[in-house]
Amino acid sequence: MTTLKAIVVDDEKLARRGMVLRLAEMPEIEVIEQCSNGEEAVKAIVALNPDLVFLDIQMPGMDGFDVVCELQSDAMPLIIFVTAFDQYAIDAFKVHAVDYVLKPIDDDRLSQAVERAVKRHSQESYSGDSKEQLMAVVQGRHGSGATMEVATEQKASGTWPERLTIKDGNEFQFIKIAEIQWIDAAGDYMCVHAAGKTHIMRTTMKRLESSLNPETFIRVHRSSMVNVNCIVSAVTHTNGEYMLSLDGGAQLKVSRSFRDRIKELLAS
Amino acid sequence: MQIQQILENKRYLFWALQLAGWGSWALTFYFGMLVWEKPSSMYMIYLPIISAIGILITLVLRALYRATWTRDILVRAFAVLLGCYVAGAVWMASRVLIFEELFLQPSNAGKSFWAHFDGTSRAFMVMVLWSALYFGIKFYMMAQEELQRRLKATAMAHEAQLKMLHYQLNPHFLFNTLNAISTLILDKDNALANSMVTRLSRFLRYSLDNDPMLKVTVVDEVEALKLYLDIEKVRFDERLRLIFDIEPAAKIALMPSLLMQPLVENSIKYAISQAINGGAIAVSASVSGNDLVLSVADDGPGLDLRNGRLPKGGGVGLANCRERLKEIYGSEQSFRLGTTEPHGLTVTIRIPLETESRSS
Repeated sequence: MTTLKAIVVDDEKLARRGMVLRLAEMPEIEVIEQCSNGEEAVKAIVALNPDLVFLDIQMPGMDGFDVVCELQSDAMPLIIFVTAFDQYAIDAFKVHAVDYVLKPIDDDRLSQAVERAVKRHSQESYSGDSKEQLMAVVQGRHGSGATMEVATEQKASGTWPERLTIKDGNEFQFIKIAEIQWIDAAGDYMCVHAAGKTHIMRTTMKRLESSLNPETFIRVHRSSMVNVNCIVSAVTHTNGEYMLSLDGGAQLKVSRSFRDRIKELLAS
Repeated sequence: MQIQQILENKRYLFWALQLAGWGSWALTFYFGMLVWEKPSSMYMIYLPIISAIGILITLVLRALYRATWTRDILVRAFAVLLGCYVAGAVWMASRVLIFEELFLQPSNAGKSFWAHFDGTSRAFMVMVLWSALYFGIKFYMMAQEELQRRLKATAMAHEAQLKMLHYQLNPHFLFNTLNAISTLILDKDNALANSMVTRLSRFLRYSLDNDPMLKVTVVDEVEALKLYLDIEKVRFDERLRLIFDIEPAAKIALMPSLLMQPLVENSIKYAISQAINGGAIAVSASVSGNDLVLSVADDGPGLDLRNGRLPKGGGVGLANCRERLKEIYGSEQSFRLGTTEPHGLTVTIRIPLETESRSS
């Protein structure tokens, strides 16, 4: 039997302890790390590459949903959300078939969720949770009108636009393109990570890519792009993948198929 | 008491006024006669009879006014004038007939038909006066009723508002606490688990039993706050530090129950649980002149208070607390947001100083 490597994330010590005590009874789960806030969680998930994350929603600083937004869609672990009371989130989890357990933790409910995670993990097409599914929950939760539009100002031909315009209902938001660190796609949603914030908009990678300078933004994975000006360092992993560190602390995985482009870039 | 009952029942009131009005008309008439000479004893029969007829005629007038009550103002004015004139004429004619019957020899009778209506204009004035009184009293009573209704509606809205603004137990707190207790049990830390259950029960009882209209003493309120904070302290561990500063004089002062609860919860939510290293909350109560001054301070990030307004979307707890104070004390209170130095939020509330003995 394969064991799933798991991380438990909760800001309350007793809540983490309760989860760890319960998981200790389950041979299919091995808890490899505990985190007490969102930032620690993002770092640990990127560094340790767990199969499964028990993620509390309400936490200081970054909450559980912020953690999900920060994770690269190409490297998502399985997520089981843990919450005490969040009626909206629970409804959304049901709609989008996202797994969750409620506090206080019901042992039967927890075993069910773990069982399901083990099953999904063993499936051949396994590739963690789909970020798209999770984004749908995040989108509805923040109450934004879901259909965000991206428009770029086309300046004189030959130059690239300097900012993105996101239209959400009657509100327009401008994002300086130079401030965008990386972008990843989650199905119909694009997550634009800029100046410490994640903007979610509804558009396609193709459309977004067409308004970005290909010299500056390059693909690093099937559905992630990075701003080359933000790369601070690159580390080679044993499995041949690259790990990029960006200024601001974010870390991105580069798949083997996109590795060469980065190599060239770093060499030049 | 009986008079009160009569006045409260509109039907009795009408009859009481009707009899009193016509009775005094008859008396005025009689005393008017006295000025000239001692009236014949026949008046003792004549006056009651014509007053009774007046009563009957004005009953018909009232029926007419009721029937035209909802009609156009011109229709009603016309009904009043015509009604008063016809009523006056009928009343005058019957008076003349009865007068002749009682005071004159039959041979002298047999005047022309129209002669019976002499004096109709005076009778008309009596009817107009009656109508004026009728409408005046009716409008006055309607205005009174409307006023009563409005006062009642305001009182009900006030109470509903207070109930709505009253603190409601935060389910997030409840479930997280139960989760912590469940861990303590799994961990076999029975003593702490037990004391958590006890504190949680006491806090639940305090917050569920409390009537939003009732005031409690500062001591009771602080006790409840401590129950709540002790529970949170177990959850947040060393991340939560507490400071209480309750002046002896302020202890017996009265305040709305659970007023500071949402403020403390706010501090926990924004200052303690958002800060990775936790923080401190200070609760104080003091007496300043004729005011009770209550404050809740934290050392969290504070609020952007540059424009003196609550941030958009946030601060439901603060807004509710402020509204509740307004509902209870009107303008006799103040609710101030300030900055804790070097950072954090301080909420200061001033309410009139009341003590148990004075309020009872």
